[in-house]
Amino acid sequence: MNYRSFIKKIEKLCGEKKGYMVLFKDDYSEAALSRIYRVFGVSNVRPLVRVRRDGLEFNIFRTGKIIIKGVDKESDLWSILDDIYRDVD
Amino acid sequence: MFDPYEIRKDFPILNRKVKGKPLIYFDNAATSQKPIQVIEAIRNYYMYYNSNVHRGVHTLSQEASQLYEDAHDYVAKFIGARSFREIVFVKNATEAINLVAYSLGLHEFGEGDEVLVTLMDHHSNIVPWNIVSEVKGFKVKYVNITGDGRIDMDDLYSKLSSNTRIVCVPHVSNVLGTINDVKLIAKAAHEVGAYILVDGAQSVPHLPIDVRGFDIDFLAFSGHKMLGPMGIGVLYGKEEILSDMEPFLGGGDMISSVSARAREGFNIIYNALPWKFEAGTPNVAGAIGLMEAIKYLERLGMDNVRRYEEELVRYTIEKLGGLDGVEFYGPRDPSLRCGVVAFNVEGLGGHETASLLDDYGIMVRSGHHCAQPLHEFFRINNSARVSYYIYNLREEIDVFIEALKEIVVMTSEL
Repeated sequence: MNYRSFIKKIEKLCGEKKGYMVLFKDDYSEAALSRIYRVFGVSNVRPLVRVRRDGLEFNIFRTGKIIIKGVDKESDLWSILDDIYRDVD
Repeated sequence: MFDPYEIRKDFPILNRKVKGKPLIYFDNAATSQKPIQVIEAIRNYYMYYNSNVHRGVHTLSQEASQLYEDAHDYVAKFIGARSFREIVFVKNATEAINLVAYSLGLHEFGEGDEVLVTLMDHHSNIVPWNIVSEVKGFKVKYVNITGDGRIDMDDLYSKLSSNTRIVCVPHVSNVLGTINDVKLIAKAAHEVGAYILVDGAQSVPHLPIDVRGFDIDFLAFSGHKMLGPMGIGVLYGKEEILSDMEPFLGGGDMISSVSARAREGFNIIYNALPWKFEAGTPNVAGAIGLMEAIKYLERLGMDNVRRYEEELVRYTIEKLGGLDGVEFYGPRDPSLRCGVVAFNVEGLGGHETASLLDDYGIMVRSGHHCAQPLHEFFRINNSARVSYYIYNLREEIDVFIEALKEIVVMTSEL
């Protein structure tokens, strides 16, 4: 299964010049989040984990949502997600 | 007797849970929840009365038309208008403002004229005027606000002139909750011969309204923020002004007659008010739902609604004021504001705060709330916002404050 099918919704953030929210489907959010925790080398002990990398800010919510700041266009967002979930099929 | 616990029994949605927690709905400035009476009125209409209005002599059409016209009457009485002729049903407050911007701005304003809006206006009261100004060449100027979130009246007076054609203000800010003195602003506008348009989206659901007492020319508001359904809104306009205005949209029901002339095209005579501004099949069920919502609010009494919400906002401000790491915006005096409080947690954006509150079952809005100039004024990108209504409780505010305390601690550890 392509990781894109994990995603329920992508929304540009209102009031953030560069920012997106990625919401995962309930059934796949655990898989989606474990992957991102692993890639960033963080644990899920808190409801919100913040990671800053390459000029981007990832706010990872334990309930199945990521708010990514510093992303201008949706195509850039997909590149970032493609990178994180590169070998997930 | 105003009893929020009894009121809550009329709102089925308040029984549901979110993320395993009892729902706390604090996003009423975006849209209110609907009581069973409104839901039943809409259902009843579709089950027993559904028919097009003003288009048939048959019984169903006559009954539907009567209900639709009654809804105009109810709205007129609720806001103190002289008659139903001053009540135009539209989609929402945004459409009501667009109606004025196009019908008045496009036909009556031109180069050299000025439209005044305020820095605390919703985009709905800014953008339509800018669109029309690009066609007609008039200027759209804005009135500043004070540091504590009130309209800067000195700035307003300094910008009013004989060039001012209309002053557009929110009655209540959808971010700060500030209640603006529209009677005073109306007087100032009229002294220079300008109209006044009041965006009542955040006031009509929460305050007693008297359009004649305020002496305002236009009032725009939405049904869905005052217990009614989405898709129905109202433009109030003084009859003598509406009579002289050109229609906004053309189509069925807004005409009295259309005659084809061999060489001259068509001769069109517009319908009487308010139908001249209601082209096409209207939202009859929405109007009936709005009428039922008004009946509900009238049973409670708008003075009681106002008093109760002021209590809630007073309690919120007291609690928020004692929290380190939380900043809120707008007047500190609860008597100057409605039940809307925008805030930010240090180190978090509004969306992160709203997402974390969601885990506690607390629904709050985040973003710029369609008021970007206001956020720029406070040098912030966005904020989270709680907004109350008749069914919210002090106990819910306690849950919210405790959640905020936990979020502040958690944020400090990020």
